[in-house]
Amino acid sequence: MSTAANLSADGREAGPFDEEFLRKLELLSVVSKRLLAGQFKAERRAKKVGSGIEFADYRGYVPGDDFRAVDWRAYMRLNKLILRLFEEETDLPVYIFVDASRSMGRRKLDYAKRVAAALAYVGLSNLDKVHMVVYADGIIEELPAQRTKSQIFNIFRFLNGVTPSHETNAGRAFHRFFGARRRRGIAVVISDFFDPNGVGHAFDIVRYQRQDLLAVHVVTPEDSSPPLNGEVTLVDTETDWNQDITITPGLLSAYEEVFEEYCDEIERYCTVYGFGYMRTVTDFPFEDLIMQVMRSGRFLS
Amino acid sequence: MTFLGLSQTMGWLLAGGTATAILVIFFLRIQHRRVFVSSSILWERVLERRKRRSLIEWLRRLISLLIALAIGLSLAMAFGEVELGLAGRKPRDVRLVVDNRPTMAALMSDGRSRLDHAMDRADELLAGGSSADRFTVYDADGVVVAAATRDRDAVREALADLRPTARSLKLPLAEEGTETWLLTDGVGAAEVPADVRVVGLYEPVVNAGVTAFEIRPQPTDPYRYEAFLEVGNFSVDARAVTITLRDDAGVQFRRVVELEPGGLYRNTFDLGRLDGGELRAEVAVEGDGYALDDRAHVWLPRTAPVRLAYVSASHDLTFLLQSVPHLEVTVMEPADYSALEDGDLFDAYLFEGWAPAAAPALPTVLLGPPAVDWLPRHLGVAEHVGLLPFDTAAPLLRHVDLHDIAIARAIVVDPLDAVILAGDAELPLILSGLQPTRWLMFSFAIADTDFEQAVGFPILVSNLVQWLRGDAPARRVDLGTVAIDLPRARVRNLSTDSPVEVRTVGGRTIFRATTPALYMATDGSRRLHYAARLDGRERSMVNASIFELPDAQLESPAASRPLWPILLGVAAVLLLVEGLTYHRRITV
Repeated sequence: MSTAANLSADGREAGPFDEEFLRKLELLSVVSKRLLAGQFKAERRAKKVGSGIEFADYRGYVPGDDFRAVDWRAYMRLNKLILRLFEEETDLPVYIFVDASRSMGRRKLDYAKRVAAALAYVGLSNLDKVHMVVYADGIIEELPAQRTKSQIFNIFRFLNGVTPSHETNAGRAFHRFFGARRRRGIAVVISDFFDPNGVGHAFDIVRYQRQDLLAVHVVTPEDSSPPLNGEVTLVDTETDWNQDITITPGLLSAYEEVFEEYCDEIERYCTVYGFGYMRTVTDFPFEDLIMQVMRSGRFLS
Repeated sequence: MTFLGLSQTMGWLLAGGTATAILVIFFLRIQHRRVFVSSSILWERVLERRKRRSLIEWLRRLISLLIALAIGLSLAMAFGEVELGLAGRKPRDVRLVVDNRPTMAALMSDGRSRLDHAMDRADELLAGGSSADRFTVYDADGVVVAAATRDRDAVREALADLRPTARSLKLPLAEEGTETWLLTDGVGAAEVPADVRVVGLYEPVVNAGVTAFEIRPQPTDPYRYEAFLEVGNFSVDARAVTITLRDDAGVQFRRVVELEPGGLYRNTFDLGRLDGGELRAEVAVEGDGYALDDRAHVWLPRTAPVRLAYVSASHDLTFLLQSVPHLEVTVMEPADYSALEDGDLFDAYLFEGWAPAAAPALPTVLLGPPAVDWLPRHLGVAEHVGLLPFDTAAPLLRHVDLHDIAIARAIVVDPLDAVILAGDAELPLILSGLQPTRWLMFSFAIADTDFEQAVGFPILVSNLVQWLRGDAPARRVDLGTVAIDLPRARVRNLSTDSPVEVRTVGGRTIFRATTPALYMATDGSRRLHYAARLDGRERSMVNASIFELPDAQLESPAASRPLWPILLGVAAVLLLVEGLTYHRRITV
């Protein structure tokens, strides 16, 4: 694929967007088109009747209607002013939020970047406007709406420079982003959701803005089952918190139990408010995740 | 240096090796590996949950809870004044009878009186009871000195006011549900009912006391007195008793007599050579532990003649008055009376058929006086007055018979506040008053009666001289409350030369005589003496106690102490423990 080759030929660090990634992305694009042409295509079509190119229906002329839409052939035949109606296709704003706090670490952040880029690519392929936002304890960087598939490289470049930093405060970031007037769309939040201020609080802000939400929960195997043993001092990557502790099997199983409960809490929130939730481990192939997302019908509406 | 028998080098090596080993062990202690985790959120949850679930944490919480409970319960019970040994017991209705008869003033071996010990025991009873118990305090006369109350302080105040003045020992009637305690020395006590718990306060005491001290006129001369003295030894063994008789001039008599237990010394003394005034009998014995009967007082009337100014126009009584012993009469006309400027020349006045417009300052006798402002108002004249009642108890009319007296003419006066000695309210014949001076009025002239021929007339004159003198032997009263027939009298203790607090009840003046002494009550020109001392020989028998019975029959107050001070202390200690353990992370 030429785009991928160019990216590598520029000598820039390919990072998560290497040749293989781009190959998978192209594949996803083809798959997504096939999906759009199939059973899910109708779901994305707006019901609004307007100035599209695809014929929808006829109706009688009423004063004030656009003369350009009058079907003159029908007038000649029926001697009545008939108006031709076309189905108007609307673009869907997609707001992709990538958590770049220190808790994400390199692995989770790379994975999140890939997922974000893939979703953006699919979105652009379907002519959606894609906003890309990197946040931690606020908005770190924001890429304005991208509309065409060719603009995917802007997104690659944008994501490529993102590194983990700062603490997590998703609520503040969402508040600031949606504080500016935004069209209703879908907010895709890709994060490990380790937010000291509470995930629910941040999601509430999205909900109050009447945005749809897809939460992509990225975890590492170490997050769900830490490979610890013996006397350790646990240090939080984001805060100064540290704790001397003796790791025992019982303690580990208690941690795993708490971790599951934590994930369940987030999922329960999304279920209650009709939001999408997906949990993935960084070991899991991201393209499979994208397929799951698309099959869920939430992203490619 | 020698160290455990090692050489100096070996000692230093041992010390160095020990220090090195400790340092190595110290630095070899387990080092914690630092592990970075994505977030502390989950780990904090795990640790919190583990903290709640671990046995040690459970124990810490339990200890904290128990300490908190103990503190709270201690404080609650302290403020609730929980007491030991009172669980399930109903509040008692306790009646304390404190024997405050004079014998309770006897001293015990520690130098404190039996009554003081009774107070202590009463205090123990008060402290020993439940706070819900009600206490009623009676004195030995059966008078309630503290009505049923839970207020211990009020009871203690009432107890503190008790003085050894009671005359008898009366127990309150038994009542259902009450508990009676008698605190007594058992002297002269009758049999105590079985339901009364007795707290005995008896120890034998040395005592010799005056059991009788009286004065009386000698039969041969009513103005010459003699004294009768009786002294007894009430100790349990023979004692040498020093008897002293003294007046203001000094010791008049002193003698030491050896008296057996229960032995009495009696003597009569001629007081004719004394000038009058306070006379004191005192006894002294070594180790005497009962002071109330050690002294007795009498008041010897002054024996100097009464200087009488006889103011009359007719002078009918001149001869009679001049013949009366102990009376120096100066006869004068009414006109001469106004020339008198002071009363130092006379002790009294006798006005016959005349009265000055202003009341004189001295005691005054008036015979058929005319109407003046300061005397009862004239209402008219009565003639041929017949038999009328008279007060035979009045000192003036003592031994005088008025039944056969014929009065041809008498003035009728309005008696108002005057005391009628003869006659009645319609026709008072002899009446007296204290305002504005001490006066005695006969509403008739002697010449208008056949009084001079009556056998009682000389006695009346003699009584009249006594009345004019205004001096009589002291009335003997017992220790305790004394009532005087004077409405607004002032009372002074002549023995200590100090004023005595009085109060007026029902037109009488009342004071408390707590120690043997001579008291003088004055109201205007009237003066009365009271000799307060123990009344009777049995009041000195301080060793005639029923508590020669075995001690087992005597009870002691139950010792039930309030717990609140201890509980407060426990709470304070627990608070300290809680603070200490919390800061050392032993408790949560």
